[in-house]
Amino acid sequence: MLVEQIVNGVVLGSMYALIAQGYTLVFGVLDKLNFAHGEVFMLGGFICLASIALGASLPIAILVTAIVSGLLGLLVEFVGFRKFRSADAHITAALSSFAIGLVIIDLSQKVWGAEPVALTLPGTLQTATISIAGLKMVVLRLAILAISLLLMLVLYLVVVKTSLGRRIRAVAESPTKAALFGINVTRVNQQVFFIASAMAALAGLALAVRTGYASTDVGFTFGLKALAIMAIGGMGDIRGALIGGLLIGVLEALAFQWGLGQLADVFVWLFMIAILLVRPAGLFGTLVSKEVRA
Amino acid sequence: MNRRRFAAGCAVLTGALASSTLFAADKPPIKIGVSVPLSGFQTPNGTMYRIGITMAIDDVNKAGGVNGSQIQLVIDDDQGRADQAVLLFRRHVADGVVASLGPISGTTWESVAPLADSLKAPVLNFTALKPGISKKPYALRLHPPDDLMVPEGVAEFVKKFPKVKKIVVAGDLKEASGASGINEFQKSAKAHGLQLLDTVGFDTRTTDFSPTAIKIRGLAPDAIFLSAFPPNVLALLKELDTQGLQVPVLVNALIWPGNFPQTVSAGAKNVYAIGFNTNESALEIKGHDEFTVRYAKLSGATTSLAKPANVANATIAYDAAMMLVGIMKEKHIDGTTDVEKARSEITNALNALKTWRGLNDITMKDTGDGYIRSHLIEIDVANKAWKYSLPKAQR
Repeated sequence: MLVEQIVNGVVLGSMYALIAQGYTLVFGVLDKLNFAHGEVFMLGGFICLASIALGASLPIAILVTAIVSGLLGLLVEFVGFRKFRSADAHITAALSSFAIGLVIIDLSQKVWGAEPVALTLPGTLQTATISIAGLKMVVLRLAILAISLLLMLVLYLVVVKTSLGRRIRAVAESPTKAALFGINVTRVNQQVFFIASAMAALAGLALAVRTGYASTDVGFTFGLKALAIMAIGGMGDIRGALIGGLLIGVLEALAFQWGLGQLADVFVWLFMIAILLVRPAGLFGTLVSKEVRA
Repeated sequence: MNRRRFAAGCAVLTGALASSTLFAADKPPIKIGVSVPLSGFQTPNGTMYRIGITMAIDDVNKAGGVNGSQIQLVIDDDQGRADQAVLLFRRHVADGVVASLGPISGTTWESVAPLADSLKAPVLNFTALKPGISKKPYALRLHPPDDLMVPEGVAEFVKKFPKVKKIVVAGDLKEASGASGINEFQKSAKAHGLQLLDTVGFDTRTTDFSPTAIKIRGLAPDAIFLSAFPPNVLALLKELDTQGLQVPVLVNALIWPGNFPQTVSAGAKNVYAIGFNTNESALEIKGHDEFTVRYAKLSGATTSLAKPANVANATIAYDAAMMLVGIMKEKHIDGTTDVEKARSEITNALNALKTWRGLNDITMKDTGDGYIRSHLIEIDVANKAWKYSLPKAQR
C-alpha cells in the first residue's frame, strides 16, 4: 500500500511539475509571475471535454488542447504582459494576469457550470490495470507519468539544445542585450507563453482524464501549489520545478497514507517554508542570479 | 329596477375593487432578504432555493400580497462564503428587511446566526446540517441537522444492508457541515454496533482523491460513510470505482440537493444519501406533486441546474417563505408596520411555533432547529433522480 501511494504521488507530482515548469519558464524569461497560468491548466480539462463532445478521439483532443491553450497563452501575454515589461511592473503584470485568470474562471462557469463535468472516455481507459512486481497499477496513471516526463524532457532539450532554447536563455539573461544581438524579444516571449500554456493545459487534461471530471475549481488549488513548487525548486529553474513537483506529490500521498489527508495542503506550505529557511533561493536556484536579474 | 340595482351593484363593486387595488398599490412593499450562493460550486443549491422561495412569493403576491402589501425579495449572491454572507446580512438589515432567508451552508450559517442575535433581526435557515449552531430567538433553522438526519439514515441503511459490519468514515474535515457529518456518522456507527476501521479526512479543495481511495481500499470496509460536498463525493466515487472497490457508500444530505443525481456516473449504483423528499409522487402531501411539476418547469429554464430537475429540499425553501408570510398575515404586518416592531413580532411568532405543515411536516425543537422525518434514498440511474431506497412499509 505504501509503495502504491508513493507511485501515485509521483504521478500527481509529475502533473504539478508540468504546471510549475510553465510558471518557471515565464518567470525565467520575464521575471514576472503569470497568475492566469493555473486557470489555463483548468481550461485544459474543458477543452479536452469539449473536443471529445464534438466527436474528436483522445489523441486529437490532446492536440487540440495543446494548440488552443497555446493560443490562449499568446492572448495572456498580449493582454497581461506586453505593456508591462519594465522591471518595476511586477505588481501591474501580476494583477493583470490575475484578472485574466478570474475572467477565464467566470467564462468557464458560464459555459460549463460551477460543478464538475464528467468526461466520457472510451471503454476501460480509466480502469485498466496491470501488475508490476505484485503491485496493481492503473495503466492510465503510468501513461500520464510517462507522457509528463517525456514532455519535461523535451522541454529541457529545447531549452538546452536548440536555437529557440538559446534565444530563450538569452532573453532570460538580459532582454536588452538579446535585442541588441538581433533577437526578437516579443517573439521569444510569445513562444515561451505558447509552450508554458500548452504544458499547463496538458497537465489539466491529464488531471481530467485521470479523475474523470473537468472542474472549474482546480485551477486555483493546483496553481497555488505549482507556485510553491517553483519556490521550492528555485525560481526560474526547470529542474527545480520537476524535483519540487515530485517531492510535493509524494509528500501529499504520504500525508493521506498517514491519516493526515486534511492537512496535505499545510504540509506543502510547511515544506516550502522549511526549504526556503535552509535554502532561500530554493533547491536549484541561486540568490546571485536573482539579484542580477532584479 | 333590477337592471338599475345590478348597475349600482357593479359600480359599487368596481369602486371597491379599484380602491382596494389602489390601497394595495399605495402600501409600501414588505422586504424579505435572501442570501444564497449564485456563484461558485454551490450555485446549483443556491439556484434551487432561489426558485423555491420565488415560487412562494410569486404565489403570495399574485393572491394580493400580505395585508395589502406586496412582498419584495432582496436576493443576493453570498458565493457560499461566510464573509460575504455576513456582509449581505448586515446590508439586508440596514435595507429594512423584516426577516431574512439563508444563508444555506453550515459555515455561512454559523457566521450569520450570532449576528442575527446581536442585530435582533430574525433569520431562517433551511438547509445547514451542522448541529448546535442555530441561535434562538433570532436565528432559527427549519432543516433537521445531521444529529437528527444521520441516525435515521443509518438505521435504514443497516436495514437494507444487514451484512455490513465494518465501515470507514470519510469526509471533509474543514467544512462545518462535512465535519459534523463525520462526527454523527461515527456516533451512529457505534450505536448500531458497526466496527469503525478508520476515519479518513480530506478538505474541500482536495482535487486528487486517489490517495484517499487507496487508503480506504487498504482498510477493506464493507461500506463507507461519507460526509462531503458533491464535487468531492463525485471525485472520490470515481476513484473508488477506478480502484475496483465496489461497496455501498452512504453520504449525508450534502449531496441530496443540487446536480448530484444527474452528474454522478461512476459508482452511481453504490451511492446512498439521506433526505426527506424525492421527485416521486407523494399524493398524501397537499400540493407536493403540483410543486414538483412547477419546480421542474422553472428549473428547466436555468442553465445552472441539470436536467431532469432534482426537487430534493427545494420544498423547504418554499415552506420557509410561506411560514414568514403566514406569520405576517396573522400578525397584521404590512409595508407600513415599523420594521423593528415587525421583526420583533416575527421573532416571537417563530419561537412560539411548535409545528408547521406545508410541503413538509416540520416540528420545531427546543434547539431552534426543525425536525422532518428523514429516509435513505438512492439514485434511480435510469431517471437520474433520487428515489426512496426502502419500500414505504419498511421506512
